[in-house]
Amino acid sequence: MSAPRFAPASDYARSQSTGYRLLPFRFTRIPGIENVLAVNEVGEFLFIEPADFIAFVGGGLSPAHPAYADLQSKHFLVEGEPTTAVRLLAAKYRTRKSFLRGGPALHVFVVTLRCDHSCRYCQVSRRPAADTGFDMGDETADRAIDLMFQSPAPALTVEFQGGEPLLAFPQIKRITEAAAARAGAEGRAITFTMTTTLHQITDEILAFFQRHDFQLSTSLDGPAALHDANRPLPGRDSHARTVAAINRIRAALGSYRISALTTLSRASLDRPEAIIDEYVRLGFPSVFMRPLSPFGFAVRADQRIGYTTAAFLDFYRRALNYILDLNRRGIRIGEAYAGYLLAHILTPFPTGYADLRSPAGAGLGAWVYNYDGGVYASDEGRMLAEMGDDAFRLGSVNDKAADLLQSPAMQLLLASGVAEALPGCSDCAFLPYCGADPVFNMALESDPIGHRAVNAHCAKHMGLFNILFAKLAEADPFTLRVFLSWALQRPLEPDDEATL
Amino acid sequence: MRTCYAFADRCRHWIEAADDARLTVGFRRNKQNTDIEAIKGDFADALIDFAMRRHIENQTAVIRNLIVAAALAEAGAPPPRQN
Repeated sequence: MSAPRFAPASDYARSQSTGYRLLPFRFTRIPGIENVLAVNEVGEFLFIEPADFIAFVGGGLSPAHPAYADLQSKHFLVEGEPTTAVRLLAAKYRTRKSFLRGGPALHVFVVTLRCDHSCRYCQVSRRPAADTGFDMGDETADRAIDLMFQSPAPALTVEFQGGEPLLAFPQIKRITEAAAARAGAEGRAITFTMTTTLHQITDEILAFFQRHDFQLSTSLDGPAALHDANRPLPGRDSHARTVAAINRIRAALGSYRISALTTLSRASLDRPEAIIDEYVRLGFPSVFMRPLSPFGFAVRADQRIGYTTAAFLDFYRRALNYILDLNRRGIRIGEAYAGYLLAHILTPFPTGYADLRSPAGAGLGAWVYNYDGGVYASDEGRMLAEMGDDAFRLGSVNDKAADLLQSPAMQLLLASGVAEALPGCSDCAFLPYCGADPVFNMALESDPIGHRAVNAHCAKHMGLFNILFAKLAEADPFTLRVFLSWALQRPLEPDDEATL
Repeated sequence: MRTCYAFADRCRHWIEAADDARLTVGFRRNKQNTDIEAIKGDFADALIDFAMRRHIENQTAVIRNLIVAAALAEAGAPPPRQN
């Protein structure tokens, strides 16, 4: 006898005696906010008064109640036959998960481990600039390119990392030219990016960046004293050299080609205004407040430069308020990570940010080719291997893409990287906006699933979502416009000042 | 169980069946300076929220599965390319 095709009729019964049925959603309470935050399966949200919420969940909310129409229009409840609502929600759900369609699109080439800096918080494994044996060879590079083009992704992004990647510029040039030619032949879009200190820039390199439309990212930790303390060079001039290189790139390629992020050490935490002012002074449209990562040298330096998640969140709240204040005064500056989170909250679209995906971005969205031919699910997975745990090593450049996708590492990622199935995440209201990070969990807890009650990834993101949703609940019109401009990555409209 | 899981950063719990309809939950704080009375209050509030979550899940599980199945069924992805 075959299995029944439909659930029992009782499963489709309407909620109690009223005329509506609940649609799937989750809820939470934001500290300091009286109303309950409800978030449906596809990330649409609303705040609702506690008494109304109880009536709604119990099936007793009157259609005449003002909240009823909001709940209906945002797909928290449905009257009658749910087929149309299911199809609409399915279309939105598919849009939110559209990052799954193309396969790995981000391909990170670690062309060298050599670096001229000795940053205390460095999350990568670095070697002195003069060392040998830590650069990617031609054969490894060629095989990595072959592997990248086995991905079905119609649009590929190649990111060069190190060490300091520009110390291996000849290999970067080789890979870029080969990948660009092949993308052209296959009719695929390709974008080149690089994370670099910029200190090795030459006219030849600038012309090369121009030719291949490189998007560059560098580290700028704030004012000179803070930056130079975090990123020591023998000449104690890292900040001056970085700023000079930024200006040179802007003059040659345009200001939009270079962005910066700040890594926060303990010394940064009492200086959010100074860090932001430095970004404003240098003309950046946004600042990326990135906490320390639990990998590489940062682990060993944690006693000296580390801090708690609570301390980071206090810093972040202060920084965000200052940024909003600057915008009120007509100074346009955004916070990049808030931009990612708000894009997830305020739009139906996913972002390219791998840490905020479920299923996890590692392996499914990105592959990392190490200088020695190892292929990893993420840069953090590569770092974990440097720390002695190769759980997220997919294989080598000699393997086929299909083999990498069936590797034990990928199976581990799939078993532990779907937030919808993780304890503590499955009933979290922020689930549609957040993601699973098995590599981070493995690094901190020796367990890819992680224990949510003590999990640093969870504590950080719960804190950030609480900060942002508290602002959304306050519903200050100017703040909402600023948030929307960050989410949509468009400038604030000129008449937005009129709302002040 | 979900409520105990959410509070595992603050205290340890043990659960015993008091009778057929009731459970007894015991608390032991993780840190000396933890205010166990405050935690009991927060736990009671959270328990009600988790009961509501379970109610919502039970009411909406079938439709949730339909949404996810419909979304993924129409999203066939291409296989890896052969070189």
